[in-house]
Amino acid sequence: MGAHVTMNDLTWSAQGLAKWYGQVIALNDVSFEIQAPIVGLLGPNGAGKSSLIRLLTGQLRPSKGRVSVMGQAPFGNRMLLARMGYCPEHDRFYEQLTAYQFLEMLTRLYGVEAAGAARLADEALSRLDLTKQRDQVIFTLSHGMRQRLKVAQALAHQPDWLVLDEPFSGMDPIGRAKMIRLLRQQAEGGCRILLSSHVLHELEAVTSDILLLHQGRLLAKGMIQSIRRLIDEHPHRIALTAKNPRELGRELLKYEDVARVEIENDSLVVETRSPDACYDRIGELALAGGFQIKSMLSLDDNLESVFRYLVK
Amino acid sequence: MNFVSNKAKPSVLPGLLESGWLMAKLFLKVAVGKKHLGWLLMVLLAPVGLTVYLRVFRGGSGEVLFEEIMVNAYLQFLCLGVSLFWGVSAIRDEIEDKTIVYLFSRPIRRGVIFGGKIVSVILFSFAILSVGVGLSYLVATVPEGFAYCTSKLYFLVKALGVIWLACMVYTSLFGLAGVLFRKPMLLAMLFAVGWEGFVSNLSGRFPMLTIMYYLKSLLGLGPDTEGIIAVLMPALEPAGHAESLAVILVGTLVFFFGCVYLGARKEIRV
Repeated sequence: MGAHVTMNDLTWSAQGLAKWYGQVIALNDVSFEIQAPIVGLLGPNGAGKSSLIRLLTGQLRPSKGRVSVMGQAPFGNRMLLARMGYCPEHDRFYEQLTAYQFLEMLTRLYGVEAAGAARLADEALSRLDLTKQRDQVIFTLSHGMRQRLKVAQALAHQPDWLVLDEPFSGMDPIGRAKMIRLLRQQAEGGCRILLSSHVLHELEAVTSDILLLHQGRLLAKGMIQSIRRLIDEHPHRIALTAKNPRELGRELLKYEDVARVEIENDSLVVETRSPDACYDRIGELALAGGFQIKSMLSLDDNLESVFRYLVK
Repeated sequence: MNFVSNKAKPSVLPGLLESGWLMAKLFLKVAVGKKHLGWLLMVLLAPVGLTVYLRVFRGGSGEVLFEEIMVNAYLQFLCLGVSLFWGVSAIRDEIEDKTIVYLFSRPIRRGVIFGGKIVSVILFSFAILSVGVGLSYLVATVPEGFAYCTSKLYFLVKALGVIWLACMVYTSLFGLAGVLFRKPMLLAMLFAVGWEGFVSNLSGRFPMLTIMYYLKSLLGLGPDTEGIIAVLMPALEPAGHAESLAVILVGTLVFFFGCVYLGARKEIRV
């Protein structure tokens, strides 16, 4: 089986794609073509990530424009769906089934015969560290286990394309690290992955190719570094707490790249056009000890501020 | 250059029958585990208890008693109720619980998802109802002797046939309501109680517009009209068997394929 497609077909693409639900516009004139082992879909809540994912996995039909995976429209495309794995965002299951029953049943729906589905279900449980929970009823599983089970059902049948909507949600740091390793292994095995997140560093850990969505529009596309650079061209804000914030602020304002300093009690926020140089300088000042800098936090790791810059 | 995966892959897409069978298995696994199944079984077996009570305290002919229980408890109440409850929820629960995305992301025809669920509900409802009907029959007829019980078996077979037809037509109709409406339960209940329960027993020709009229006609029964209205407007005679069967089968086909067709084409947002 399987429709053979040429390498020239871009893995994920959209042309003038729009999706609206009644009066609500979820996606508006989104166009992209991207081919990479792992693609990250980045955007705050309500950006349209899940709508785009549902369009790419054939759950929904575009209201306008085209969406395709390997050059094929996904809605009702059974050949494409047979080679795709999809992990939805929401935490919903057939709660009465055991983890094994859930995986075996859903794997069989890919056309795998009973014995093969049983083997693949057990393999998926093992890969996601759920072997001990194999015969446990789903509603008794912890949030992290449920999240892993959701990923397991997407990759049990060994898909060529894997689409994961917020796969790290609710995972502890160890689970997250294991998931990152698993996704990298999948990609090394030839599986093309598209995953969404609203946390930049989660995506940075697995890929450098991202699509940046905000309010239903595609803001940027490409290497994460270029998006970082784009961000760095705009003023960057650093929050500091220090024993002598006023003196520290006065010292920092001597430099050209520092545009503004706000002081409140023992903390100050520095706005700079050259974050790297500013971080180095703050490090030197901290080492010198005169200002007793207690903490430093980059406020621009917050995606919302990144989007504020980019939509200006 | 061709992109060819070297991984183990399913050799064929799941066929129509295989997908339908898997849908039925999924429904059974999920429905059997549901908390309300125990409660529903109790309700379904309640007519058996009622038959025992009437047999002991009222007596009378076993055939008449069975007919009374069959029409009033099973056909007009439980059959309608079970088809409504499972017909609507088999489809609506998947959508509201958002579990339908697991099915929509598999390479099976969307129509099969809806069709498979309806067929499973029909089989499951009939299996459960027929146990109750069979037990009620035994309770009603066995006290009059084994020979009497076996001589009236044709009536049990006819009753089970009508129950089967009722499960088919009502489940398909309520399944269609589950696909068409976001909140179908209230509407379905109004239809079951108001239309099928009330209009089917009105005087005049109104009952011809209900499904229940044709189901009861297959048992040789007309609308159960009483009071002053019955004097003013005579009750309708039962329809012929061929006409009744035709109306029920055509209705089932229209509702069933309507549900499959709309389910396959309608965009369901979860």
